[in-house]
Amino acid sequence: MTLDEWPTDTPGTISGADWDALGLSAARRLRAMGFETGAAVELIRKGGVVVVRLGRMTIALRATQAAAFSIA
Amino acid sequence: MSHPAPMIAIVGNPNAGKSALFNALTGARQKTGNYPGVTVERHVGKIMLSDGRPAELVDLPGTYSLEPASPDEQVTHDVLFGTQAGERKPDALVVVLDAGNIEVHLRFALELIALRLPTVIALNMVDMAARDGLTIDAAKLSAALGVPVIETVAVRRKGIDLLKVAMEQTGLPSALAVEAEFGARTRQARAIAKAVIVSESSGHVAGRSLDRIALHPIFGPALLAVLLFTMFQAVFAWATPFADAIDGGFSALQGWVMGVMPDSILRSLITDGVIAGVGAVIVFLPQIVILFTFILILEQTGYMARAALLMDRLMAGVGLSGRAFIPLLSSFACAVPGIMATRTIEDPKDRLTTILIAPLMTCSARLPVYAVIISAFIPASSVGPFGLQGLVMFALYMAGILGALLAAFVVRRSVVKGTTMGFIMELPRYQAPHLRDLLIALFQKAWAFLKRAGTIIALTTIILWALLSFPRVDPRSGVSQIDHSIAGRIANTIAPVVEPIGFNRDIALALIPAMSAREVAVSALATTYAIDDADETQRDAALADRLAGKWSLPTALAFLAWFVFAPQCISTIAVVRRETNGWRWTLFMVFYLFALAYLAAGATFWLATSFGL
Repeated sequence: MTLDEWPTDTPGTISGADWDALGLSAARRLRAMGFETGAAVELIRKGGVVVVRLGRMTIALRATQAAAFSIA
Repeated sequence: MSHPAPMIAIVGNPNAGKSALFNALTGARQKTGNYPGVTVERHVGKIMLSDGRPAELVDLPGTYSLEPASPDEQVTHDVLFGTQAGERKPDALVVVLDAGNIEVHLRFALELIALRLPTVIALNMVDMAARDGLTIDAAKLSAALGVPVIETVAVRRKGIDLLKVAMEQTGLPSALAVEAEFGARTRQARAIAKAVIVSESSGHVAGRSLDRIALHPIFGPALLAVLLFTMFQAVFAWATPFADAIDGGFSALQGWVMGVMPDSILRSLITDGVIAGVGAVIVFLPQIVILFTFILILEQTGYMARAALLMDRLMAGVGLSGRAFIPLLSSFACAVPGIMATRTIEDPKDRLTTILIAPLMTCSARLPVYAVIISAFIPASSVGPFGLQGLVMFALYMAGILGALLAAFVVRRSVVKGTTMGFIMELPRYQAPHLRDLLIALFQKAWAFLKRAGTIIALTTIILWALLSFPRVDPRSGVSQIDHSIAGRIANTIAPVVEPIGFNRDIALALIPAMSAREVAVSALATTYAIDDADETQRDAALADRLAGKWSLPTALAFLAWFVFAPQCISTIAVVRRETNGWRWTLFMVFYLFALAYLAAGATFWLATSFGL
């Protein structure tokens, strides 16, 4: 399942990332924020812009971008 | 100077509390300026280390890594590597870490430690981390990194003295071997974070319940709408008594000068030129201060990032990102800080588009123009529960916003095509605004505005006064001073160009100096009619009453439509040129805005005329 489809308030782990689909600058920024395989995430808002709790940070990104991450 | 004071740079992730720490260290002894060639703000201050040595402290823009993704981050990168024009390479670093985000912030800290400069770590916001149930062993972190680590709460000035002591004692850089590869460095940061976290309770995350409302699909936008409505309401309502007081002060000053000075050219210069011109602009200081108070509070509390998130859908519809909301909101006060705020937009296409449309937001400089025309031509009657004058003002604001959205839509599908980085934004934790930091930022904004009023605007008013006053006309000849003056002759030449859109000679005359700033149109009209009306009773009549006698309603409406779009602001044009690195996009912007202004004014004039207004 991809991150944008993941149910809210349910802990999950990033199992894969399609960095190419994100484009260089978005990929770079998300990596610097801690998006990577193995990171624990939680979705706290769905919609056109999703909100993700990652570690101790709360990060907003578009659903189309969240779709680049698969969650298990 | 052979031994300049050491230069210490404050570096850290966005939202780590860098600016609050900078304010705590320097207090009011700070200066803001710009780095040459870019509009990134340079904040520099002097501090006295506790052994009495002076040091220069510079607050670098927040960044997530040393791989720059925005002009802001580029400056941080270049300063740290000693390649930024106008800045020396720092002698030492203060790295600010948000204790509550230690895992992510440590990786950037490692990158900075690898620069091998003497470094002190400010482990900031330890109180907020504790609120989230997180305790960190600072001594252990210091041992692991090989640099001093001081726990701070910058907004409460906690740990600042200890930090100063540590800053003067740092001699040697850390010997820690930092992993060069990104993934390996991330693992290294995570391992250190794990080792120094003493306790962490999961469970309650502060601010989560606030976000359930602020980010709710229905309540969220509703809350934002209420906040924005309150903000604009406050800008108009609260500012009035202050603006009236300033206005009264300038009138009194004018009267006083009239009383003590004999009638002469010099008195005319001081009263009709300088006092009338500068006074007409400074009246807007209260509105600017109120608007920025709201914007700064929204930023400090962490709400602004949520507002950007909520606006992303609308912005995405025209090819922008929600990040554009913050600069565009600032542009309602003034496009100059608004355009400077676009530096936080990483994506170059998003950023360029935002710059190109920012001047369409109704800035405070348009208010004097709108206010004078509305009070002169729009009756104070009501339409249902609303006042007609207020509705016209609202319509002018909406025309600017819709024009901007339309312009963005067209620009993103023509001259600035292509995919962008989307919308990625960290939502900082909510926190109470801090009065001292708010006042420092507010003072800097207000001072910049006053400097502009005191320099550019004073100068252009004096030049206009001179152009209007010379050559002098013989009072017995019956020829009007304006027609005879240099400015009048210039205006007569360009009048045919603006006649088709309903503008008369006096408007053409006011539009020339208004290139320096829109509000000058009001002072120019005031100066023009003040010089024209030699007789004293006419002189005292309010500008609005005089306009009502001299202009037709279609002309007045066309004049309003013109100012919705026209890029009449030299400061904005200058800042766009600097920000886009050249004249190409600047001229594009000036041209399309003037074209829109001409079309809008023309359409308004002819529609109003054909409706028999």
